[in-house]
Amino acid sequence: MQNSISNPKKDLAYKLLGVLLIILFWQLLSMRYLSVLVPSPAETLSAMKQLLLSGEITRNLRVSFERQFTGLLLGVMIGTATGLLAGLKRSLELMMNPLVKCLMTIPAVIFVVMAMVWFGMGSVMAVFVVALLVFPIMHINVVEGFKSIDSNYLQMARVYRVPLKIRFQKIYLPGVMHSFLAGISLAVASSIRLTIMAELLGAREGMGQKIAISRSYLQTDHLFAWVLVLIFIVFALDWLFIRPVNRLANRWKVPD
Amino acid sequence: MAENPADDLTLEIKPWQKGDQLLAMITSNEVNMSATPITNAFMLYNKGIDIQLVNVAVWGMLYVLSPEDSVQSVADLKGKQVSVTGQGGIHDLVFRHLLIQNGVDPDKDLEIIYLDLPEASAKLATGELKYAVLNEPNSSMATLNARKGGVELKRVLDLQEEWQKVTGQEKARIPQAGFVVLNSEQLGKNAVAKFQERFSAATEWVNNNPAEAGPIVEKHFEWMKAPAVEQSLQYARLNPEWAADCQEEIEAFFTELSKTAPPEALGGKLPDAEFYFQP
Repeated sequence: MQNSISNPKKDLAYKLLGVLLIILFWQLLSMRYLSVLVPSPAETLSAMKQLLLSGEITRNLRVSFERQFTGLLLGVMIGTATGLLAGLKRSLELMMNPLVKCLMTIPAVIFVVMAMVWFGMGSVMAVFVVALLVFPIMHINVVEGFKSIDSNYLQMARVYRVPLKIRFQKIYLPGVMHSFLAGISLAVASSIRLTIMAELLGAREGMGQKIAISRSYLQTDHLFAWVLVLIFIVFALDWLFIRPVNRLANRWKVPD
Repeated sequence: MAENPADDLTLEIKPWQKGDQLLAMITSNEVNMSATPITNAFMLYNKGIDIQLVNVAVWGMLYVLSPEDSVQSVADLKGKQVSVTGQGGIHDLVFRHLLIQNGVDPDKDLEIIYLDLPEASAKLATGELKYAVLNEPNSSMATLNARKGGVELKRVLDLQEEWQKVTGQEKARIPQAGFVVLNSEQLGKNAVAKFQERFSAATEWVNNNPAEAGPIVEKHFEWMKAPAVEQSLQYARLNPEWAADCQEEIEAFFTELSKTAPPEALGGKLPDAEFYFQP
């Protein structure tokens, strides 16, 4: 429920003002400091143009995106499958709990370092890390979805001996859908961060590696340009994917 | 760095770990002088920071460490997994140059992974990793750590010797790291000269008395254990020379290196003569 009346046009204007203020502040900082510390917005844009024209942005975006997508897909598939099983069988849920907890608690960078030794630098390692850490997100969300199912339905299904197939179609899937979709949007957002992190340390190409190398070569304008590209992508994904999925998820939400 | 001339020259040591930290210290005027890899000094100078190279303090202290004997030449590393510290840094650039000059494609013929010292050292000790390029005193620290676990690490390749083979110059050296002075006008030539004099005397003493030097270093940098420092001094090639006296040698080395290294790794180009501090 929204209790204040929102005016989409006014909201947008305030957001744009926020963006302008950031740019202004950035410009002021860049005038105060050497460009190796804070390159100006203009320098950053010109670095970005250079990276675009040389094809570097397109090339590395494709590499990073492929890794992210493959890892996400694997993680979502595995996490959903184990989540469904665990939702159906409580003993399984309890048995998987320690593993899921471990994956969620251990800092992701440790997995990157280990995976680098196991798989070497590059795609396999990045995909592994993304899948490994997307898996618990999906698992937990799907299990939560099961818990949100009204126990009266389950009891009824048991009493009337409803076949598993029908139970899935009519009770489990609709019940789990909301949490599942919420999990997906969370997984998409984390998979970007995980891909970049894996690449920062252990890749020879991809956006994360470009950021790492710009940093070690003190090419701060390039670094800023890559970060801008990253921000742009996150916003685009948010608008094109995460928001629609969340809207869809809310449609499945069981009214309390 | 393994030196501390404890005498009347007032000297305060501030350790740094990553290039960004050094950059922050330099731009905030926190330090007058700094020890740094030469490539880093190139980059800072080429990015418009008032910095000059005073000396080259260490020459070629890069080694490939392994518990195995099977590798006797750079080409033997084909098909192996090798850990290197710092992608795009001087270790990486030199190692890649040597691979390429020996006909080994660093991206296809072997697997390079980038690990920090503690990780590389731990994984060498557990046998998870068989080959690592390490500098001093890190290679000594790794050797001693591994020995605790019953693994005997050897320096199977000396990258400076390999450099000499590749260039065909018996006396070629790798100018690896040295001291830079920031805003030299402010500090004055005298102070720099005094520093260099004391520093040379101290390195001579340290090189001649490694056993006594170890505990002193450990007192200032507790992560550098005395036995590691003692062992390290045999391999570190700690031999300070005025940068202005070896400008030609430095330029020759980096011209050779830039045959394989991307120009950005040196900050775009070789610095001009102004870069070399004139005593």
